[in-house]
Amino acid sequence: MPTVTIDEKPYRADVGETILEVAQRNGIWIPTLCHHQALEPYAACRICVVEIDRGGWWQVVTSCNYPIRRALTVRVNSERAIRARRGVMELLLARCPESPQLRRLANRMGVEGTPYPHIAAAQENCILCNLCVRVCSERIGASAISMVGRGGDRTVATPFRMSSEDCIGCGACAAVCPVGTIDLIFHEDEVEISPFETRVTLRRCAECGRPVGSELVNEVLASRGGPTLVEMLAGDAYCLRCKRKKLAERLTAAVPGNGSGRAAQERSLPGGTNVQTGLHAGNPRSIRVGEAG
Amino acid sequence: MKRIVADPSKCMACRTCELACALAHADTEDLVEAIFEQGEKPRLYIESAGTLAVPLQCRHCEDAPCVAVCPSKALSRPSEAEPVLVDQQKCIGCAFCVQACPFGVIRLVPYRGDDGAPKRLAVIKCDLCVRRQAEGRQPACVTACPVAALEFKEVEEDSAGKRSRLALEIVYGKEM
Ligand code: SF4
Ligand code: FES
Repeated sequence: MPTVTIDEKPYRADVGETILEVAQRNGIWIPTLCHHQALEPYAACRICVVEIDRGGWWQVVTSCNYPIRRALTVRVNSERAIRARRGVMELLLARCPESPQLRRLANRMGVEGTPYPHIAAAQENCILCNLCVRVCSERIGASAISMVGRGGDRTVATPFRMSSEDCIGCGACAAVCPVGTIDLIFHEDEVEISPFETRVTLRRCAECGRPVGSELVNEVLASRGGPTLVEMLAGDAYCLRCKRKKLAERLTAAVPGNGSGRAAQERSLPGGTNVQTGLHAGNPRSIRVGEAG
Repeated sequence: MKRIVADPSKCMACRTCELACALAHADTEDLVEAIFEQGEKPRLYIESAGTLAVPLQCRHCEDAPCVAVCPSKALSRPSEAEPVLVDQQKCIGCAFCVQACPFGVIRLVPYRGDDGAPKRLAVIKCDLCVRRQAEGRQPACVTACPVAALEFKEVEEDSAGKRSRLALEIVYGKEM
């Protein structure tokens, strides 16, 4: 087990772990943007740089993908490391001056603004971290978006910038984007993934009409879950609230004098099912749903 | 395994449990800071039904559909006797689980983890207060309820799959 010395304190580490992992486990904060625990390290944003001892000189490396092989001495909060990270942040701020998420991180790092001019419109509000592209291909398996163009024109887009055929409309890209560039916009019967101009069919709650999710996600779920889930997904869609309402009605069905529960009360439950509610035997009003059958 | 058992005939919908839940999952002891500054959200919900109210939270299904559909292994159940847990740092916000959960008790909220990554969304759900349990305490909602409508106790286990089969009937009106 190699020892990693971070800011003069020794920590145990496993071979193959990254500097970032050791630091995080020990409560040492290093800012990250393009790093996500569910994805392979990518080291695109450079915000996580630290210094490592090269025997006589200190090298600046990205901590999110630097693997530990043997004992290593690291400086996270040295003047040079802090200056390097702030410099990166200033560059990134020029790309996304309006992103509240990025501004919050900048604040925490002690960066107030950027001396650089704002970036060309094509790349505005994107730090090219590739998280959206990676989550879509690595985890969802859809590969609906990719990096296109070079240099100042490099940007994330669907093939030919047309509504993607491969997008399932799950919204993971929007959830992981660290600067808040991607949004889901709900239309009448479609959900739009902005700014990719992709639209997929939307399922709405059969009870109240609130958006539930994309039709295609439903299909993917059916292929992943067991028979019960498949059967469930084949039926109407319900929003979170309406699903809970139905459960609440069921759980109160057997309480005497509770109006709305009546209909549900009539239906008997599968034998021996335990809904786990109010099972104390001594309470005359306790419901014993689940002991029917 | 021990589960949270609610008695709707006692619940008076004061929502103390919701506050206690949010506070228990924040990294502060201060309620105002937890709710207003950290934006911490409860993992359980008071739903009304007729003249009654019921506190609802994850049922920790034996064959949890959320765990089955999660593409990033953020949702897991270490063993039969343990709750279904979410690792927010691994969550990618695809909301597969949100659609798959038959009870509507897992949802996407703004992420406010402290790993430095300012990603935007991750799911939250009831974890039976594993952190408190490790300290020998009961789940926060159970302790907080002023009328003891919530209990944390050992209940007889259903045979595999019963809970989600049941969901099918409750939510989707299918007869078994
Ligand atoms: S759109 Fe967001 S997630 Fe995608 S590369 Fe740009 S900054 Fe990263
Ligand atoms: S987090 Fe390490 S380079 Fe982006």
